[in-house]
Amino acid sequence: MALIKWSPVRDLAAEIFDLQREINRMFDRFFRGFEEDEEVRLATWNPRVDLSETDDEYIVRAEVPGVSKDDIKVTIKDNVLTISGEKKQEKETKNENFHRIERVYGSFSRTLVLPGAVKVDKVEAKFKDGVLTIKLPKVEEAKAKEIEVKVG
Amino acid sequence: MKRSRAIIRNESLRKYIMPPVDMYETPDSYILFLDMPGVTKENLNIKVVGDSLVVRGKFDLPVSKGDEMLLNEIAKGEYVREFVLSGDIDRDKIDAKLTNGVLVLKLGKSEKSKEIEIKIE
Repeated sequence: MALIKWSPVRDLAAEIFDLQREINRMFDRFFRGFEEDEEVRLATWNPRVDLSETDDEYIVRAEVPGVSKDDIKVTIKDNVLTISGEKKQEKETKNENFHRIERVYGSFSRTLVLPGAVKVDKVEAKFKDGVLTIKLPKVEEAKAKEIEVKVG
Repeated sequence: MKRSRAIIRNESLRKYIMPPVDMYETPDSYILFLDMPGVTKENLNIKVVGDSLVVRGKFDLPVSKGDEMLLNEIAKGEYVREFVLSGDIDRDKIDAKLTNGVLVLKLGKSEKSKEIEIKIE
């Protein structure tokens, strides 16, 4: 049944990274089992997120591959951003023999405390190629102001 | 020892990302699902080289230079995954589809390796 063998095409350093990531993931999964009951563990996952800051806005990017636009919910309350939704298993595969399952399914949720106040009514969210991009403009007060120091 | 640690910390070497894959088998094909968020059709490259199927996908997250990264969890670089094709796959029957960051590969089985039920007379 050895249809597919993973054969690395990468240099050693990159391989060590992958290994490190895999081991981290393994430990995460393992210890998660102790904290939550089985059902919860299987049902939720947390997408990986980038948060960057420019002078005028915060930009949040989340990796949610395989989730359709309508299954994502973005909410902001008291400067806390929550991205949640559900990743459904592909319909055509439900009753078939699987050889390998490495991807995760089910509900996901991620909560971020924004570093500063944002204009809630001007927030823009875009979803493309499995990446959700949320642009959150800062309110005036939160923008860093440079104050000129006068020499008296 | 110290030196090799320095190499690992070097961000620029964090180049290849192994996308997770689900693999299913149907009577007439194998279906693979690869999570490759951020990859567009133009940046995706699927090749059959000898016995292996190589999937590569570059993705760029547009980060301007002045941006300050407060949280940096998304791995950046190039997705690479290589599969060895078994003999029952028909190389001319490989379909690829990319939707919402998921690459779906359908590898058709060759006629002669399909399962045939034999009727008992």
